[in-house]
Amino acid sequence: MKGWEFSIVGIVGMVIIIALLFYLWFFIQGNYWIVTADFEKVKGLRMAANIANLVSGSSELLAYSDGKNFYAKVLDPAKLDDIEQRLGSVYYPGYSHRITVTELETGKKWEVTEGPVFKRKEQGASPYEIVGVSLPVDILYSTDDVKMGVVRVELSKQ
Amino acid sequence: MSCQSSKGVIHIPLLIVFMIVIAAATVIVVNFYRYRIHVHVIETYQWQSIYNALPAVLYSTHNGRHVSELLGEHLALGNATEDEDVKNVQSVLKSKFDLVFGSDNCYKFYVDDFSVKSDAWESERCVNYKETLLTSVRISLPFSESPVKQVFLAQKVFAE
Repeated sequence: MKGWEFSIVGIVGMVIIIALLFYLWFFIQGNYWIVTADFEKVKGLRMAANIANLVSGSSELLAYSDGKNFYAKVLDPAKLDDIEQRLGSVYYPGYSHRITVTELETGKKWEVTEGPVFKRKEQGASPYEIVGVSLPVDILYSTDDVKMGVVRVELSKQ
Repeated sequence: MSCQSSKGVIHIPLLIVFMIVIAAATVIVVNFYRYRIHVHVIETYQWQSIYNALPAVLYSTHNGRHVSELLGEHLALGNATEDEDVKNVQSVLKSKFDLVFGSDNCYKFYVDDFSVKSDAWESERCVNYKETLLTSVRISLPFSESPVKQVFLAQKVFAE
């Protein structure tokens, strides 16, 4: 009888142990992909922040210049009207992005899109995860008229 | 309730308890790791881009005057002025910060005892968060014996 009791306990015990091992395996596997995706997300955020800083900090792109000095994070509305030509050379190979400058008080927008991901998204069919950062800036119409704005950069792997 | 092996005795219940402890420890460690990535890396990255809100707000204009100028006059003169914009600098600043952060986020701007807070700052949602200095700048104040002041912008984040 004792041998029979031992067998039942042993079998149930082994089943529990195997079930726990399966659970652990799937748990670690599942989290491995989630953590990997998080690292990709951080990489994307860093790249988006780089683009936002570049476009708002360079007088060749969108930053205001008075001829002698240029002002980082202060955007020139004349350059914004020409945004597609000015930002055409700004991209990360293998990534799509959308840069949107919004004047917060009036809601006026300037936008440029690079790569196929956002076109697919507009059609409701993009499978890619999109990350984005926002950078508060000023838009200088004149020294007496400086409006607040936000540069939003959304980025995704193609 | 033990199993005789060639090397000795294996206690099945002890083995199950051991496995459960290992599983629980793994779940706790992995979830903690994920929490740290989400809260401390991803959220910090999203807030980093807001660091520039303070100079952007102070350099912007209201009725043709820079907000830093209005703030400087307010701090130097207090209410001893007829200028409505200088008197209302708190509401001017709040409207600007709300545009960037949204009034439902946890932000506070302060210099000495002058402060501007979001509507949510004292709310139940924000009150449990830990206050963190987001950024600070120095501004010059007109008509003052101590013409340079440090102003601060703080946020509240998840407590560790």
